[in-house]
Amino acid sequence: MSAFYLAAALFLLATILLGLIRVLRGPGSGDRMLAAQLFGTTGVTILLLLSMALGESALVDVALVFALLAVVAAVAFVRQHGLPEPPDTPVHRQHPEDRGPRDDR
Amino acid sequence: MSLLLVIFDLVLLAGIIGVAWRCLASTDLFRAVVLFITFGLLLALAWVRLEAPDIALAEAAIGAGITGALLLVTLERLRSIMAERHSGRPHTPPPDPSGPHALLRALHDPPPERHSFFPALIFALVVGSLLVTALWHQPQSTGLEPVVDAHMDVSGVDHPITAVLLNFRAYDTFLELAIVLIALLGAWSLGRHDLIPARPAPGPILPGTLRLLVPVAIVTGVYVLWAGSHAPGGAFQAGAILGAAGILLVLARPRQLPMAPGIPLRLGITAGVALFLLVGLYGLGAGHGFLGYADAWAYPLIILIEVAATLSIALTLVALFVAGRPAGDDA
Amino acid sequence: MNGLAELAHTLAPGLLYPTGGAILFAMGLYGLIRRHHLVLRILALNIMGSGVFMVLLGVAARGEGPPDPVAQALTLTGIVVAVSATAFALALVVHLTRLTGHAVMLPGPPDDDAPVEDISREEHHADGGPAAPHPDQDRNP
Repeated sequence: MSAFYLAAALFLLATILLGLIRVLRGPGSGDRMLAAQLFGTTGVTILLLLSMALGESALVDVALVFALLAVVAAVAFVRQHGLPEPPDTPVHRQHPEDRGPRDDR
Repeated sequence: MSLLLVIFDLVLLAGIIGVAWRCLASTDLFRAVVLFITFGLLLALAWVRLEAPDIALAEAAIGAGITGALLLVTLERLRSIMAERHSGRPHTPPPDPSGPHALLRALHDPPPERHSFFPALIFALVVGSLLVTALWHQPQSTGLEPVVDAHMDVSGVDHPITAVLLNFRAYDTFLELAIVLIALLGAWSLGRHDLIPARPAPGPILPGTLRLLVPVAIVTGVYVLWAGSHAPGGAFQAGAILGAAGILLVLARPRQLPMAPGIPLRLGITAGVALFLLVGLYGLGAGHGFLGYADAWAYPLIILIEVAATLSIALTLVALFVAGRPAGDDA
Repeated sequence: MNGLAELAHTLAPGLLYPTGGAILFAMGLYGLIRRHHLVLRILALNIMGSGVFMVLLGVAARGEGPPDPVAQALTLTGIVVAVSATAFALALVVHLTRLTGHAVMLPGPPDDDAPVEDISREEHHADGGPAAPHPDQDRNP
């Protein structure tokens, strides 16, 4: 059974490496950030699978901290870049004072 | 089983090295920062493979959480400074991506020039191959694990890393707390803090998420601190988790900073170093040497220091994130 | 069969990860020399530090039995010190940008004739001296 867990963890690791394409190519900063968030979720799963495969219960704590705190970077991103809506949506018009350079790198 | 583990190690290492390489080769700073966040995540997995769940805990809180937010906020600060400089001077030409005063300059780094390629490459290759050679020919040794194991019963705790940090090598930990404090003093010496640039909260999701997340993060931090006496966990990990929770709180209302009162904040920030120093001096006076404990008092003293150190580390990390003295006291 | 056992020994975590750590260190060094933006240089320093941590933990995990707790405790303090130093360095970069207008460190000797940026608008800079002219080639007329 632990071989199966390990194989699953390996597969998830491969999906992280595949998802790096989104980080590298973008095009928007939202795409990059979302890919990093996805890695956080995948990382939690890999940690839990490794915890089962290696028989280390302490890794569950690591997974818990991961699940809780991977969101910090996302919150920092959302607070500064806003949500990637088109410029004429009602939400955007409500805050005319807030027109920094739209981030679409 | 072991073949799968070897493949896992190889893929993980290849991923770590590849991510670090793309991060360093990136011309777009935002991309570099996202790659660095990914790098921290993969590192936590590597620490798990190296049988270091304590380090993985700290890396999960710091690498995936705090550093990412810190870098993102720094990029935004740089951008707003550049934008302000350009808007304040109407005679300057509008930002031109190829021009010398480009606004984009804040967040972009042009590819490095050609003439430094070979010297840097040769230097890095020489250093790297020397390191690899030294590591491959290192004599086999058991390290200090047997020594620590032999003295565990007088340490006061059941977790070897906590025993090393707060009893056997308490001196290192004391100085480490002092370094963290000095880093904060350095940041504060640069002036008062500036607001973290932020857009209005885009809807009810963010405040709702934070209302749920922050209490859970605080409970987790206290749990990790408590677990440290017998399992992976302890003051540094708990401090990092609570610091990340504090950063979430700061991010929730960046326009209303500062909320930090002067004196209690300063007391909290120095609590770890101060209490450590007091305990050390007490040990010196009682004849156990600096930072030595009487065996019976080891456990309560370690817990006391750990609580104070957790508080200090958490507050210091939040203060470093805000960067700058709290407003209202220019003494 | 003997060669396979040899290979398995070579690929043990205690040897594999220190090698990876050495590579990370060398890569960080390369990036530190080649890149000019200070934030990228800080990232390069962090990658070098992570390489050092990986070497330490990899060597600690060698051999039979549980890993060396002293090396792990050392790494734990190292990570916290690294994040504090990074935060301080980033605060310095923000301050430098506020004073000089850019966060890029270009090579070349400092140019004494370069005009000093007007820093009188920054009231928080009342106590320090004027910023030294930065070796920014682009600002020459």
